[in-house]
Amino acid sequence: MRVLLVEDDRPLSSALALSLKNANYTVDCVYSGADALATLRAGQSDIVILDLGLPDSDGLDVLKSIRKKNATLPVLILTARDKTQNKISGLDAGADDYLPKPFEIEELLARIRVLERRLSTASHTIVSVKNVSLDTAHHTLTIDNQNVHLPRRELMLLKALIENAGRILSKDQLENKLYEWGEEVASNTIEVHVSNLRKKMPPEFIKTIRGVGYCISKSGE
Amino acid sequence: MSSIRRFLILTLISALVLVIFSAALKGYRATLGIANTLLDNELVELSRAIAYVDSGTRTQQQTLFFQVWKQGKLVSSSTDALSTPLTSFSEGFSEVNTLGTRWRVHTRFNPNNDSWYMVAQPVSSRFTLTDSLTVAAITPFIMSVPILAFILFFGITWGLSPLKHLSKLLASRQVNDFSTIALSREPSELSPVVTTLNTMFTRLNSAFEREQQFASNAAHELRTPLSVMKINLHNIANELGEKGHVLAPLKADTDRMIHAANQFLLLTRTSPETFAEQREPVNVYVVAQEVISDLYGAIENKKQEIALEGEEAWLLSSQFVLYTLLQNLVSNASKYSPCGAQIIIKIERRKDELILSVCDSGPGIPADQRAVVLNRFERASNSSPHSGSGLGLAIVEQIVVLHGAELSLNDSSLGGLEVKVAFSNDYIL
Repeated sequence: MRVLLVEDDRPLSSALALSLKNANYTVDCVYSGADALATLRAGQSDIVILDLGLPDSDGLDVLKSIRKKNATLPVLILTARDKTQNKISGLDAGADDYLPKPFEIEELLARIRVLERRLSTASHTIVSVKNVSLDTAHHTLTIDNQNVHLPRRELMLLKALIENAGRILSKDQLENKLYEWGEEVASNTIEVHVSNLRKKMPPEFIKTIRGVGYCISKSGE
Repeated sequence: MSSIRRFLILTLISALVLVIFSAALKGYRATLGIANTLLDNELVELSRAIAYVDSGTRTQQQTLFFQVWKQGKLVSSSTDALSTPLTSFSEGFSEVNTLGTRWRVHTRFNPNNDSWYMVAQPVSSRFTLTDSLTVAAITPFIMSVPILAFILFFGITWGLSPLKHLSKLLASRQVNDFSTIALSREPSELSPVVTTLNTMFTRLNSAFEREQQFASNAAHELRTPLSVMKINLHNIANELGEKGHVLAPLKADTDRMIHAANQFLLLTRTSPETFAEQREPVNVYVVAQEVISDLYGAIENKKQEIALEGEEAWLLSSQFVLYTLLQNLVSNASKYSPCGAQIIIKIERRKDELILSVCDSGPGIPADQRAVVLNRFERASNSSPHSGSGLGLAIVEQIVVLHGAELSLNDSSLGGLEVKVAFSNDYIL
């Protein structure tokens, strides 16, 4: 897995590169938007980690240039600006994920793993939480090493939740996922499917956060 | 126009001169006319009297009355009604009451033929004369009073209008408006005021921009090295393997530094000037969902339950400021409550207020310490040493003040603390 790290702060760049190397990623470090675009032209990078505050150009402009040439390349944005507006404009400009500085390195690695699984070439397509494992490429589910068959929509919802384990997904976000996969969504679709899904999962596996959404806890209890 | 003083002096003096001069002219003419008429009437009376003396014919309406006494005998009189002398036989003017009227009499003695001439005129006709003369002279002046008042009113209003314009411009300024002032007419008295004000506004504006810039620079300058520290600590812990735990205190301190830096920046960025600039309709419910989602990791780590109750509600605020408010309240609730505790955020729309409350089942804050807790840097004595900078509730209070809202700490129905923020109608949409 080859990660392009676009970060102008050299100490941060080298520390991050070391962490990523320790996590078995190949890292290319560049320190400006122009260098980032030049490196991307070689077509070697699988994932881009992009700092928004670059010396030569606004990170968002770099992101837009990347998106013009490559619509699917996963891009994770890092920024010291934590205003929600920045987050929204970053995601609008086509970023796949967003992390405000300072962040936990585990959090960054977890987000990279989510992006990695989206790539068809990814070696780790299996996500496991507690005793539940989902192969996101082949859409097979095992609970306690037993194969479990799920209807298409429930599998998709489970995939969305398990890929974002530890994070809350709102009803709106889940509906949007179903839309993206070309499904029809009625007003109570999510409730019905989550309720069905819950019956097939271990108890307490899918949590409801009243008024907010659903979540699968990362840690075992 | 260059000076208010010059304008007022010129306008008012020329108006006064013009009005008083025309009033005087008018009065002079009217008086002249009346005097002419009266003198003509006198002339008529005189001619009547002469006609009587000459021919003995009396005409009816006569106001001039005379008697001629020769050697103590009445030889001629304009009327038969009186056969006694009008007045005593002494020369000069006198006034007498006779025939039901008061008369003004002039007596003249001719020693050559021992004759007394008495000519009388009713006093009332003299009053009529002086009355009409005075009225004629005064009327134009009285008439000119409203005209003068009108001219004074508009002259002063127009003369002082730049001052009024300036005060209006200043009164209607928004908190965050540092634009310079431009008057359509700038008199010499006001131009130093306007120049000084504009210089001050410009300086204030650049100071404000510097402060804003400082906050954002500080954010970047502090966060990046802190990120580096965090990542390096992680890398070193990795290298150390089993001995990695010796870095735990260093990690905790780094986290505290990050937290404190964030809180300081939040205090700057929730200043009234910044807030006034950013105000827009914000859905509190959506912000609360976002806060819960973002803090869920920490909440889940402590196996706490969190829920959002209530309905959508719109406030005139800023996304960032409301987010900061709720983030502080919720993370405090989570931080100061034990594992497995319950946290509920409630949004209640009441008749004339919007209640935003965060309840927890933690230890709460004793009633006598609640006021103290709201001060910066102070923490309740029963709180264990958590990684707080103590700025959290101060930021909350600053945000509450921005909205003219009311913050209260109460016992919650869950057994712990309830932090309640009541927004007034002015901010509810």
